[in-house]
Amino acid sequence: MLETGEGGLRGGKPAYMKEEPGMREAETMADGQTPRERANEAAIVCEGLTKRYGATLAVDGLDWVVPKGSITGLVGPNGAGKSTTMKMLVGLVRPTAGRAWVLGRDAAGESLLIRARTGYMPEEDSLFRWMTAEDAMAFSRLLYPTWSDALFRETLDLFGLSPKVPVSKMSKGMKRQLALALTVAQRPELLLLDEPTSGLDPERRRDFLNVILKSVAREGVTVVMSSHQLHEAERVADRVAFMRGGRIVRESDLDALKEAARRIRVVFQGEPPPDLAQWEGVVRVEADGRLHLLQVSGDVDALIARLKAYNPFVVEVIEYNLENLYFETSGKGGTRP
Amino acid sequence: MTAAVRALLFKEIREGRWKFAIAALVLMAVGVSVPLAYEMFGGVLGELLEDARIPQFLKELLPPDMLQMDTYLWSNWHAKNLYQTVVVVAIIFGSSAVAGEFSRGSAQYLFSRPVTRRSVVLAKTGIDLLWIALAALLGTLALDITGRLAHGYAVPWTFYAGLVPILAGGAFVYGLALVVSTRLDDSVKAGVLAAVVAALFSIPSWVPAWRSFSVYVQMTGRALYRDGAFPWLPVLVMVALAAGLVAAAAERLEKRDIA
Repeated sequence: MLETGEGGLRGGKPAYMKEEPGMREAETMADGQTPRERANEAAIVCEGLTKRYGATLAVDGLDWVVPKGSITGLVGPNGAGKSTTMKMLVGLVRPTAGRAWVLGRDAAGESLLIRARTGYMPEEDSLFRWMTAEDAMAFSRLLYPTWSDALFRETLDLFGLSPKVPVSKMSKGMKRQLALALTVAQRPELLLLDEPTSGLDPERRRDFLNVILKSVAREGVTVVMSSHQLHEAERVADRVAFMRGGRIVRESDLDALKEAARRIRVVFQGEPPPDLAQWEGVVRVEADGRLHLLQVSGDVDALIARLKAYNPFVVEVIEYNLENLYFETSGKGGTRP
Repeated sequence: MTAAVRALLFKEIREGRWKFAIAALVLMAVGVSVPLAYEMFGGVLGELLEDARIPQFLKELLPPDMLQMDTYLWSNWHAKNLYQTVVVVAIIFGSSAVAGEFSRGSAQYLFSRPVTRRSVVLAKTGIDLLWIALAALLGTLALDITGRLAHGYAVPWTFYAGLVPILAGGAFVYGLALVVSTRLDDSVKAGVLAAVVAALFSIPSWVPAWRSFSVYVQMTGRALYRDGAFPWLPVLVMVALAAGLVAAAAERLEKRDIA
């Protein structure tokens, strides 16, 4: 799988990425390919994609590749540029600079073809208020040659939505469910879901994610889902991209990311080994008195065995979840496990 | 016609049907009332002409044929109620066409569908103008039928032909409102601004030498009533201007961000 890191073509990697396994920068994967060639291999390719609103830089030279068939969780704080990026990909917003290719098509010049093959679910409730689910079905059926009435009705049934109720009479959660039912029934090749579960209770959220997963299983679609609900992204995504300040600052397979973020906490009885930072598999050492937190990679068991030879008070492996990684990446601290 | 265009037409027809129903009902009610008010109008006018307190020069300003049914109907329908209502309806429809999608929050959904923005504008324009034309026709039919029933008077063909300059002018006003609608996200603000802009176009009608340049004067189809000559040139000019405005609106929408 292709993986990108902070800066891409424009800058260096931050310290936390340097030894993480399975991560490469955008320029190393280019391999002399033309953007079009790369675009044909990936679902989404962004090169220097930039959007500026007056003095505000919403997206800052974004270099990003989303492999076909992947489920990518796009996470980041408010104002990180997630929604603007999605809007540029479907042609709602024009880039100030840079280019993007979606499903092999130029997002600036071929957005109509992209929209025909992409299911985009905006963050805001934006369905026509006068429409019932049946009206929406009649409207969408004409727009998408791949539209499936059966899939739409099946999803409505799963959510327990009536096809006769107008959108204006629906709760926020019902509107989100109808929007998702409409999006998956298009049977798109790419799903762009912008905060799809916001406003849903846990039960509906679970059904919602199941529909997404079923859709992926059935059609093999590529999914990009922005979310503040990190456990959701953790549940459905096989890749995670952290966005901040209009750029992807960290991205990898979820497993590789967790693997790379594993820590060993060790409390030595006496002095720690003087060459600890140079040990094989030790990426970084944070020391606080006799407590040492080791960022590690590779064979953790071998490392623990080597540490135990020093008779430490405590030696344990700490598994990071996405929330820890999110806070680490966003630089906001957060709870340590 | 592509499936996407059919989808847009379906949406516009469903979405605009209540606006059309209200416009049609208003025009039909006015259409019915105009022939019914003829005798009352004649009575009032007769009293005014006989009132010695009214100066003679004022009485002479009144057209001598004012009490004739054809003059009465034309002046109260084409030159007053119909054209004014069509202008108001055109402003309401045009100003809410695009701005309404933003103020209702449906713009992102609509413009992320596989349809071009130009086709959205053209579908909206086509359906809205069709609604306006149908409402004007229904109002005129209501007037005609009431005139026949109440007074045994059948309007001449020119009465229906007079709808054409009114609708051409209505299309021009709609185009103005549509351009405003692509620049503002609030349909109420767009409506107010469109009304102000439309009002500015009435300035030529205040100056006798410029009256023929006024869209509102041309809408009344005076030449058609007086001479029976169809006003081809004003109609073509108004239609061309309307087409230019709709194209400008589509161009403007094409370039803007749907944020």
